[in-house]
Amino acid sequence: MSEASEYVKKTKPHVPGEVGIWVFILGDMVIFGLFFIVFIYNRGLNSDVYFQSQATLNQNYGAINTLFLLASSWFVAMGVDDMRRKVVRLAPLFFTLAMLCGLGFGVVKIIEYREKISAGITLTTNDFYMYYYIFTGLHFLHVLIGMGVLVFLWLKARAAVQRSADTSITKKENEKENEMMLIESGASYWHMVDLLWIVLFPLLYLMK
Amino acid sequence: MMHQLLKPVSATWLFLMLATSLSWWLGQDQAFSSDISSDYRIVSSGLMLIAFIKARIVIRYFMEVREAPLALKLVCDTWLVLVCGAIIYLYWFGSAVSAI
Repeated sequence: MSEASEYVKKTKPHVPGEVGIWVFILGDMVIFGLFFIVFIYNRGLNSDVYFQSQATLNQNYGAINTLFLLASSWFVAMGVDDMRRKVVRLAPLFFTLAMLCGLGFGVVKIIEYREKISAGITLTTNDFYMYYYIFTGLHFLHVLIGMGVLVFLWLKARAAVQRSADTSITKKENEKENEMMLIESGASYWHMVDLLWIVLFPLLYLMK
Repeated sequence: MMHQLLKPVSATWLFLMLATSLSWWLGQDQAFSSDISSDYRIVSSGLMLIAFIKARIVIRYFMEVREAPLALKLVCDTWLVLVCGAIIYLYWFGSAVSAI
């Protein structure tokens, strides 16, 4: 990249992804924000029940899953960065690693749910567990959708590598821009999934 | 591979991992062992503050909002401040609010 184009990239404001995906992301953030506020308000009304129930959660699961999602987000950011290059090489590897981290999150989550359910703890046990299952369940749904998004990013990255290797396939500049927009949209969604868990972790597992 | 690790997003990721480890440690019982009831509330508020600082870093560096138009930056920061502020406020004074 020439110095001039790099300068433009750094100074010109740029929305990462489609405007539509940002409306969705911000809407989702507002809904989860309200969830967090409702939870902490109700916690104050009946803190003993929340305190005792929280003590039965395994903080290690929450922390390991935070690390999984952070690593996954990092791999996605590296993958997007690689997709912006003229010659794409490592993006498919980065998106695969991101998927593996997402899978790791899912495995830990299922182990955690199984432990709780086999101990007889369900949605109806008390208010704390109701919120615990609803919030983490909805978040898990976001992770599952996100895994589909990561598969899409991986397919796009693989096609870009093939294009880089075969110079006879060329894409028009505006086609490339549109494709990058899709990649950024998917990546922004996945980062939001990470972001929501970053708040859920201390809220459910750590705050006394 | 080495130059991949020297990128700003990699430094961001390392910082986020360290902040998570700090929260993990702070969340253990020894950090909450004090008898003074206000102490664990300060630790809990600190944990929430760390979480929202991490969230802002994710928004700025991973979601690349640092390069976005001012309006998007402001919307994201407003969300962070309002939600974090409301959580910490209700955590300290929630029962007093309900008594009104």
